[in-house]
Amino acid sequence: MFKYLIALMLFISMNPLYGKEHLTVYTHAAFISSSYGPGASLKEAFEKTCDCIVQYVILDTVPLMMNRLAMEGAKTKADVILGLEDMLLDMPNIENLVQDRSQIEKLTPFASHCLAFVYDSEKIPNPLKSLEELINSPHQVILQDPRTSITGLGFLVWMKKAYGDKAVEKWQKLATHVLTFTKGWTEGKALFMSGAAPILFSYTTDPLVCEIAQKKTNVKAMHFPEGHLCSHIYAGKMKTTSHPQLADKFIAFLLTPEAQHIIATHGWIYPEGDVPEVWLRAKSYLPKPVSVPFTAQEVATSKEAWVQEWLEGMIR
Amino acid sequence: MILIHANTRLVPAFEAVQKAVKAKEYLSHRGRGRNVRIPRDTLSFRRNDEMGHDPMTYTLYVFWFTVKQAALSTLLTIPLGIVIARAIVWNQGWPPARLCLKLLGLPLITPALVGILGFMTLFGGLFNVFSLMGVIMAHVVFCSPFVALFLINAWRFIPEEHYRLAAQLQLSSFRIFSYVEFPHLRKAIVEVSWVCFCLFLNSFTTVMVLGGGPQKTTLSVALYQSLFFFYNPQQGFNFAGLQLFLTLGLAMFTFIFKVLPIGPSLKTPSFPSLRSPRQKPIIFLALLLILLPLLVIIVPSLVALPQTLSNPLVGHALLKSLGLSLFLGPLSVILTVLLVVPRNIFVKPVASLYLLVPPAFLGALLFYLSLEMPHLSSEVFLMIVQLFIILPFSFRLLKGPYDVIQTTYGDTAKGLGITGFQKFRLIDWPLLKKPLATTLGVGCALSLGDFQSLAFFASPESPGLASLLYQQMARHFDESMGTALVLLVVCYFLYQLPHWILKQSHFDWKNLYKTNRSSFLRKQEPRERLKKYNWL
Repeated sequence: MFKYLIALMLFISMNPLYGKEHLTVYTHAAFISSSYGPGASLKEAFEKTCDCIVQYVILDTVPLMMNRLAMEGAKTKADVILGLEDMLLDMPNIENLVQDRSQIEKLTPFASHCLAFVYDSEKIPNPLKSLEELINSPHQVILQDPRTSITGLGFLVWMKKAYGDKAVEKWQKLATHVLTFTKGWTEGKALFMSGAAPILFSYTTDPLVCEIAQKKTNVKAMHFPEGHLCSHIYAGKMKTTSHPQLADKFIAFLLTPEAQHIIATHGWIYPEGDVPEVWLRAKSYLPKPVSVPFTAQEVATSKEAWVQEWLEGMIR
Repeated sequence: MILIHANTRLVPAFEAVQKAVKAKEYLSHRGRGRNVRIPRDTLSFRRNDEMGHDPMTYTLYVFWFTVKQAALSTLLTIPLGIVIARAIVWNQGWPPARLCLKLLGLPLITPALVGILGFMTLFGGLFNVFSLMGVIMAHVVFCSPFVALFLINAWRFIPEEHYRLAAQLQLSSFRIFSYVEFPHLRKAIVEVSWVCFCLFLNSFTTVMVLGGGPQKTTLSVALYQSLFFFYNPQQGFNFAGLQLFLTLGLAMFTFIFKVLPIGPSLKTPSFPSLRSPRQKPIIFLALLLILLPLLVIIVPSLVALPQTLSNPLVGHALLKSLGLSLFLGPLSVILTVLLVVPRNIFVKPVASLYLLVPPAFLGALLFYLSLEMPHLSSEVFLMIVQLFIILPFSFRLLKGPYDVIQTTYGDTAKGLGITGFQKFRLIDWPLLKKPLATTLGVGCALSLGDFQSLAFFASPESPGLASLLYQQMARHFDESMGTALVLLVVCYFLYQLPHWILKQSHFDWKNLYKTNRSSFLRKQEPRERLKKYNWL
């Protein structure tokens, strides 16, 4: 009797091995959700090319994903992570990719985006022309918390790059007309779409979603000639992965024309190759603007101080 | 290095000293922190950039904001509660007033998130709800019915003769309040202000949703965020320290001034027959206050319901929450009975601890404990936090009725030698089954609707229903409506279920907080039973 029981338990425990290979992908909410994000379509397309199952673990935002990875350490189930950006490349757990404490083996950029303010053209007929104008304007703005959101962190870096020592004063001025700091970009976007404020800190490509997918033309991006903050988006292969070949295959798949097309038309970020036809035909299409230069190293070094400065600017 | 820099850079000596002190503090804070890093690239940003930004400044600011919003909320909630309570008492025979009295307990078992969702839908277009005003308004809307409920019970103890005398003297309505009612209510008002102030100080869910940004956050939320969002244990430690300081201060205050709620007295309550048509509009206002936040979400939620029900996540979350609450409800009743039965002076402070120790603090403590004990499942800690949230409420609900039974029948039963199970079967059970059903219902409903405990101990892969609703509220507003309806309906169902089982479909909202003792005294059931057994 006992023998059978053991045999049965062995059978149950080994069962997954006979099934399809599972690839666990950590990503953030903006990448896959019920209404947008390329995640679901990418999974479907990739699963056709292999005998495997892509399993997403959806964390709220990219910084929270990185915290989770750091907390899990070597025990993490993640094989691949998606959504890492230039600003966070120098975090302790991925530093330089060569040190022992790096959790990630290889980073591959598979798309890019540029940060921008988007506005509702029905509420604001004349878009603001520069960051300075925006800070001095009376319009309510939805921003993201730089401690939890990578978009918010991007704006923190942008402010610091634009104003240096004077950033505190600018934050103070901005504080008078910030509606709220949301936890992540997705939350801000939902709030903006519900009409809570006329301006949202988002991406240059965000209006394309509204124009092409939702047939709304009132959402437009503000173009600032002095430059926007742009960043690559990376796929990372974990050192601790138990499916290294499958992980490589998935990352290589992300760079194929098929996946790039999905990323551009479902994720609404600049693909690595050519932009799709639909984008070029859209009225609100902005080609990649000039980027504000920054290094991941200086972000890692000064982030804590900048956040403190932001906090003080907000409460003063 | 920083010290030298500060001294040479600044011209006024006073400022230099100040900066140096700050820099020193800053250094020591950094040193103790997790991310100790030596700057490698200081070309583009000079080191003095970082000076003067003392983490303590922000921590103290959060402390100040916490106290400020609690004080302002209390100042607005109490008068509104008094006005509502007075309007109900003065029109008590009137059907809308009776309905209003029955509904006053509703916000207590409504899941906080559902209420806030309704509040946002209702007021979102009128003003910026993500502000200090939004937080205070939400507090006022959800707590003034509770204040009214509490005060109506105190109102019952004003002797009718006073009203008769006032009528003979032809006192105006305001004078009756200031000469007759207020002196009797003063103690109850102080008590309920105190309870409200403590609740607002520890306010978590409201501030979490409506806070919006670093300048509008309370200690509880900041503590939670620095642990779970910012991964900054050092700052979390600061917040926890201040929270502990606040708690100890409150406990001292409570101890010195003895402002914690007292038990019901043995005087038979009466309800004077008063008429005041002028106060009738207030009752409609109160009804709107209670019902509108719920009504505004019903239509959109019915539209979103098919989509919600087809979402497998909702099913999983519902099962998880339901299982938890069906386990915790009965468990909380058993624990409450164990707390209520012994006549121990330590029991009451323990049960009132919730008002003083915020669950966020407990959550943070248990979270660290859970890191030390990874083999224990997070559900265990989740249950501990939830029990901590439920117990004070269930204790209040059961303590009053139990004490009444003890004073009325305790000695008789002892004299007749009825003890143990016999006493429970013949005396306690028949009289206590209704309060027990209410306790069980409230326990289940609170467990199902609580978001705070889930925020600390639910993993993102398997959220509870309340934490799923929180996620959806932030991201897919339309979808969240359906989930809110499911949560609301299940919550009310769980609350009612024990009453249905006991075939006591009539339940007393009035007794939710204080016991209307006459309803117990009027019942002669145990006496009749005793007679049946020829013991009387």
